Amino acid sequence: MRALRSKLDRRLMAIAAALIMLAMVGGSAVAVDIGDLLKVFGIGYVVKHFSGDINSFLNKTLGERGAEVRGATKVVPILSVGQGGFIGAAQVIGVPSKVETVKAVAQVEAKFQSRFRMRVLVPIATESTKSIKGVSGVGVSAVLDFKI
Amino acid sequence: MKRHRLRLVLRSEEAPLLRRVAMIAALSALVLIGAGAGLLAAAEATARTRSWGDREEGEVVVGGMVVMRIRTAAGGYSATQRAEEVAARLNKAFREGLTWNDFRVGEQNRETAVLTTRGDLIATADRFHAQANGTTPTLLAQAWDTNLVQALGGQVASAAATQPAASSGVDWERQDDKIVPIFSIGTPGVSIGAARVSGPKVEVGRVKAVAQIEAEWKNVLRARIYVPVSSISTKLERVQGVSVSALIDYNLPF
Repeated sequence: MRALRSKLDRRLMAIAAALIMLAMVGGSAVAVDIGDLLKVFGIGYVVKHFSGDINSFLNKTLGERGAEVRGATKVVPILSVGQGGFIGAAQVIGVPSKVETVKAVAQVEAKFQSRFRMRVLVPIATESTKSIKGVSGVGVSAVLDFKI
Repeated sequence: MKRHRLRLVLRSEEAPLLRRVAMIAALSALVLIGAGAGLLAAAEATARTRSWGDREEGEVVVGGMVVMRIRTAAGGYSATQRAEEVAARLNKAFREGLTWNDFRVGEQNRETAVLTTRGDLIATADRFHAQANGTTPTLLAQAWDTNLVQALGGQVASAAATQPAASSGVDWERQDDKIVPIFSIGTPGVSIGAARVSGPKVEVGRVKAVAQIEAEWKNVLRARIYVPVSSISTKLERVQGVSVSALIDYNLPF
């Protein structure tokens, strides 16, 4: 009976140790991978794969300051109109059913009176800037820059 | 002779028909009386304790239906004591003649709550409660309000119609724009640019500035979070329903 118990204890210890090792290795792999993934695959790929994590991080940051949002939020890539391609990411905010449809934020740049630069941010339902049609009921809550 | 025959025929057909009509009327009256009695009986709130694992929860019951579940103790009161307080507030409202149509979701002391149309507090849907229910304070308050309306025999559809469809309870539709300064949370007196904010007209009117919070994620991402606020101070008073639609930078001449 004692032998069986000690055998079971050893097995449990081994499983626990394996789980701890996995968690540690997994955690460091994620930390290393994001920077590498960014360099290899680009902003669009990283935003798509980590949008949930980034969104939770932003909402947690807002919650800690008592400024949480009453609405749905989502992190999507920013598409530059003119330059083309993904230039960053944005957290969009608004009516849950509308936020679901947003695929990207189109950024349109304009200069006026020579000293002012305006970046208009339009949540859109496609990942193309060929025809920009904003999604109503959705706005921008945060702008995110990647360190490449 | 023909007339007499006709009358007899009519009477023989009328009798069972009349009996049926009388029976339906009597049954309808009974149902109506029963429903009325049920509704009258429902206009009383009680509180009870519910054990959930090793935790104690308080339930507010109206007409045999659990309308609110108080999951946490607060302010020196147990969950059951808080449920009793909510039940007492409801009973006061019922005694004053308030019905299902006299409750709404609103804000009191900067928290979302179920209130009477007169503005009296019934229950606060605080952040902890919302988290315990896996939802937001607004949605929790709406659920409580809907339960209350149902328990009092009201029309849920008409109560829900006051809220934007399938939304968070906050109107995010863009009706108006405004350009306001952006200030950094670290240095509230210093403007670091400007932002165009958009949202419902009334809410946009309340926005005084946009607070910028900076944060870093996993050393690969720098986030600038924009919070439309109703006053320029380190304590953020977010104006819900308003978001940023453009950012404006100014190039200094030196």
